[in-house]
Amino acid sequence: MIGFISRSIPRRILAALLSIYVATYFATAIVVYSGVRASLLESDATSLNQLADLKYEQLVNVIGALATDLRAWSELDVMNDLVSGDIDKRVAETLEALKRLYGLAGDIYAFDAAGKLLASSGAYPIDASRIGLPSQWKSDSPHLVFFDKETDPITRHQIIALAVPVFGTFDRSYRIGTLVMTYPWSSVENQLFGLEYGTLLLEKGEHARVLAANPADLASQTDFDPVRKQDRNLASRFVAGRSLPRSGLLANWQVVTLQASKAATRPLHWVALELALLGAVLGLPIVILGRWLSQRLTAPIADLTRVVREIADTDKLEARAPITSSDELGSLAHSFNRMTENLERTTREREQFLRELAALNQTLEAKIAARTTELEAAMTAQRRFIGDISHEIKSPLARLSMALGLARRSPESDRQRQFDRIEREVQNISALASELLTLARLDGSAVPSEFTTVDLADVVQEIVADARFEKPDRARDIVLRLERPALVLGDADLLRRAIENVVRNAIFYTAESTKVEISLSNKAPGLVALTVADHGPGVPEPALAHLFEPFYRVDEARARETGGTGIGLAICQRVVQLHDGNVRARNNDPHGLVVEFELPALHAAVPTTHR
Amino acid sequence: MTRLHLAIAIVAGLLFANSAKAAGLLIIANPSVVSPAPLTLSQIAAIYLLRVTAWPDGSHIVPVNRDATSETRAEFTADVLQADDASLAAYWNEMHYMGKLPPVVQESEQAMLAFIRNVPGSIGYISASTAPAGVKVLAHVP
Repeated sequence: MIGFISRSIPRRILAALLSIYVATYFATAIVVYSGVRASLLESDATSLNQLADLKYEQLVNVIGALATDLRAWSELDVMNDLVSGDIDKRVAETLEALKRLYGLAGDIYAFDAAGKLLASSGAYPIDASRIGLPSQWKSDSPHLVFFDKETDPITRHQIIALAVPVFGTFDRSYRIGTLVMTYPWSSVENQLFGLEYGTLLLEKGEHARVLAANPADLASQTDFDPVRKQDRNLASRFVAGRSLPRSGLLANWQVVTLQASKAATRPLHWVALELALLGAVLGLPIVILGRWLSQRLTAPIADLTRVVREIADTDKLEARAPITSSDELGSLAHSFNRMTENLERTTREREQFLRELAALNQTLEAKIAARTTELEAAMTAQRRFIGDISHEIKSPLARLSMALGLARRSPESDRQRQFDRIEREVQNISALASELLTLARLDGSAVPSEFTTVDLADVVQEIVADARFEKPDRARDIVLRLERPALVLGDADLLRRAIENVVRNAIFYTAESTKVEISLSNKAPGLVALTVADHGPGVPEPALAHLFEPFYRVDEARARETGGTGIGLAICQRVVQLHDGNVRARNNDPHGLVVEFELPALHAAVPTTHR
Repeated sequence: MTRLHLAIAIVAGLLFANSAKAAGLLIIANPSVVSPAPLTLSQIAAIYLLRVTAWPDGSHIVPVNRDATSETRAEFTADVLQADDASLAAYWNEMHYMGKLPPVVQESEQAMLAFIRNVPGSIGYISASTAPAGVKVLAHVP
């Protein structure tokens, strides 16, 4: 039970409320119950007192009436006959008539002054002449005397007796006899006992005793000491009522009415039942109220607990505790929500960071892969390049070897021609080596070139002047459009070689009277553009992409015819790239080749660190 | 006393009553009564008419009468009191109002004798034919 209650705060609150209620109600109920019981007993005792007094009064009335009658009778004239020994039996007749007329239950006896029984109201079994006045009835009192319960010496019945002295009517001081009236004890009991439970008649004083009891065993049942019986709380099993002490004939008597406490307190069963019912009826709303209150108090805690469990179980931080009040619990829920929000934000940031890291990783891998591919491509190109170089060197060497053999076997006159040829081949090889050296230097870029401010217009003009000098027949075919200045940051020598290569190609690969247009302009923004366009045969479209690769030739035969190493355009591209520019080739309309350079202008050129 | 005795007594009383006319009346008193001389009729009448209530020694006089139907009483009323019943009744009624009780009544000679014997200071009368046992005879009315 305790475990059940202590597992839940609402149950605890409910249990506390209930126990307070039960304790309070129980205490109240006990007070009420004992109060009702006391007042019940009190009222019972009061009514018993009244009853006892009533009975006592009834007895007093009956005995008092008898006493009054007896006193009156003692003063009748006829009582004078007691002096003369009731010779005429007038007294006896009178007594008989009185008994008959008054319906007396007992007897009346008349004794003369000497104590001799002279007359009685009824017949008696003993010879009257022998009966003297019984000693217990002898009295010198001039007044009526009451004798308690005793045995009638004449009839042997249980009686009470009244004795009155008789005085002569002729002389009030002359006592002529005694009148005694008996009253049967059974009549006393009939007067006393009713239908109610317990009645006791007590004689007080020194010889206290129980005179009568109804039921008969009541005295032994209650086990009273009659004297001590004046004590109010004589027996807890009984409620007692007593007649009030009075003066008079029956001063020595007391009527006690008894009722068993159980019978007196029988209505208390109802009171107890009603109290219990009331307790239950009152308890019901208290339980309902307690439940409502405890749930209302602990609902925020339960919500918070549920949210915490949800978070712990699912790891989801979206859950929020509902804020239902502005008290401490509401503030707790609010703080909890803020904490959860912080946690959620931190978690989100971490996840984003991880995602970014993964993406970065991926990018890096992709870069590495790309670089690897690039490297592989470069290595393939390198191998092809080396193969090409070998091929390019092998051909002139073979021709050189053949020319040497011819020269040895040739006659003197022809030998000179063979030597010329040998020289030409050596020059070819030398030129190739020189070109290769340049290319290797550009590729390796071991030492960055010394960059200075160069006006491309000067460079182009110089190249065109050289070309016109070299090929005077084509001088007029060259159309030059220059925009000055066209400043760039770069290596003037390298730039000159790159541009010269293209210009020379345009002039040498085109037929006579074919226009070669060279234009230089400051193409906005911050870009210097150089275009070399011819109207020659051009190159097939697929070849355009490979034009800048080393040793690539569109037409092998024509190449050998026109000379050239086959790596001029490759050098050109490398140089332009070194200057952060680019070079493209496209076919002219309707035919011919256009090579376009783009280089960053000086004011826009970014100082770059070179590889 | 049995009823037989009572019957005998009544019969005897009647017999005495019949013979009373011849014998006259005896005025009797309790033996304690001291009388210096025989009482005269007027003295007796004074006692019965409640004019004298005490003996010479100061003791109380208790006059005793017979019942109204008795012949002895009729004789006593006529001879001693010298009055008729009606006037006597009226007189005693008057006395009663004055607080004086009329003479005690006894219904027989024997009862009269027993009463006189027992009550000190009492005075009564019986027929002269009845023996005045235990009492003092104060006078004889012929």
